[in-house]
Amino acid sequence: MTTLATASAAPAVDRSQLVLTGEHISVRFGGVAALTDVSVRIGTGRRVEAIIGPNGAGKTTLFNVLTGVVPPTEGKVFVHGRDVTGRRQDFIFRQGVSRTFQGLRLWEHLTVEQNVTLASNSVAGRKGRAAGERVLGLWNSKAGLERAHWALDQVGLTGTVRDRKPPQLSLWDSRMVEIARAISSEPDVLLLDEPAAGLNPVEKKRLRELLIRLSHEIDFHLVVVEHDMNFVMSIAEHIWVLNFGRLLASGPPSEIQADPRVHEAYLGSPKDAKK
Amino acid sequence: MFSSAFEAFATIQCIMIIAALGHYLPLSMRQLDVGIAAYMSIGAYVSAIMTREFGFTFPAALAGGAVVAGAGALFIDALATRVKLTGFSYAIFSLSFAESLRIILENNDYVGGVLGFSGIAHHTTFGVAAGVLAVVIVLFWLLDRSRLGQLRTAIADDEFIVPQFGVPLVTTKLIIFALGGALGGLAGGLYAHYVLYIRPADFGFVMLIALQLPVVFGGLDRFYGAIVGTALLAWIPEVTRDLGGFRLMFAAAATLLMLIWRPTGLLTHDTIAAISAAFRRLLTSLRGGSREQERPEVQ
Repeated sequence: MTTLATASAAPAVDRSQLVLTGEHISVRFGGVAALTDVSVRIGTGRRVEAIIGPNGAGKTTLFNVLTGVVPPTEGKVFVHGRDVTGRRQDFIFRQGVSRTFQGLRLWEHLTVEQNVTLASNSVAGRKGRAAGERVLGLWNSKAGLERAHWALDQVGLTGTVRDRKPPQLSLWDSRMVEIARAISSEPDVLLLDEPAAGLNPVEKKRLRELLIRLSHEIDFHLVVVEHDMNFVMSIAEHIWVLNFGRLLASGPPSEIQADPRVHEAYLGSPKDAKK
Repeated sequence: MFSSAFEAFATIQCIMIIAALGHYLPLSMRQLDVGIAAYMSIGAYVSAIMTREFGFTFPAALAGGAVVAGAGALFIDALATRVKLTGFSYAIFSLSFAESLRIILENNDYVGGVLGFSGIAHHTTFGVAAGVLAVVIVLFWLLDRSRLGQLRTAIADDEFIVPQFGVPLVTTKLIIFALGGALGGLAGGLYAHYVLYIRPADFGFVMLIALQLPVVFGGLDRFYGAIVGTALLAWIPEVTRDLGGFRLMFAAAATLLMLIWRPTGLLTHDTIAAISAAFRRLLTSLRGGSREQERPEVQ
């Protein structure tokens, strides 16, 4: 591993070609090291990537660093080659980085449509769909509303379900609202935190197909944090493995599946796996 | 139209509802800015000084008081947000500001110190107060339908994820804080030009409680909770007038009973949903059930 100093003096890669880059990220909460020297590069010709690791490995913390929730103690975050380290979350969102959250986090007293419109109105149309002026505060713009409707169409939420509030929705519909809210800004990178949690096998298949279709249609790079290994292996072209806040391995699924270190850390020792 | 006693009561009621709505704004985001009495005093003193000392017209003085009070709220809340105060520490911070301001005013000779500021011209009539209240209610109705209003609900529901969707959270909160402060200032201006004599002690802890109780009583989910709460609780001190200093106790007791019965206040999201569903059912049955086919899932 190169040190931070040499990395910033002579970048190993042309960052402008990468959509989202985290370089040598370390995060410490008091005495606890949540992440130690983790580097990820999203957008090198791959469409779907996954971050896996045991509970507490730092996956969500990494998402939080990449989206500006948690400033890294060390290291830098770049979006389209632009240093966004320490910038505000709303700024990073408007640069094209969008996400969902572990567990369902919808605004429960807003309708489905309002949930999505709140996000879609924060950006002007980025990829030609209902482009319009971004309005800061008072009113929702027509362009933003159109983009919200478009996003809801994409995930198949049509009709009166849009006027319902999250507590009245099924798990699948709630998950779809989260995805619609995240894609309504037409992001370049979509970070999904455990999108398949709690879904049945049929729904997982539907979700996989939906995500792949969306990533092509909207042209975004998808990064998934997920515990379901079947889901991850079937969707991801590249996998980053975290363990105890460190990057343990990274590579295509076949390589990761064969990596004994990954087995030991995440899937249990090889002997356990064979049982 | 009314007896003069009732008119006086109704005028003060309108002013108190405006102040309660100003108090409600930060609370509706679940932010404990409880400096409303201070914002009222800023509005009262600034507008009174503007009319008495500088000969401004009453509307200009009202606007001036509201703007300065809004700026005061903006200042205090910007400080609080900067050091990321939340919950009780926020409440203590804003309360300390209100109490400090009261003590500063009590020791300032220009505004008459503890003896108060008198000689204010009479401008606020019941019509003026009711008219201003009507405008404020319309603005709240519009706010509920605006993006800013939805952001307020989102902040109350889950503040953490709001900036994750491109919303400048601090700016949004400060706009709402400033609006709340400005409403308090507006109420203060109306109050000063009605009672014609104001003292710093008028805007102390008792004023805060007099506004806090109805807002909690009515529920924080909808703005009309604050209106209904103020309107209902105001009768208690009136009908228990003979009990003197114990009067506020009955309002507090009523609020406590309400909180036991309905922990989130009288009018909640669920209450409103139930009422509007019942109303829709009534409409449907009046129209002979024709709407039932259009929207079968409406309960």
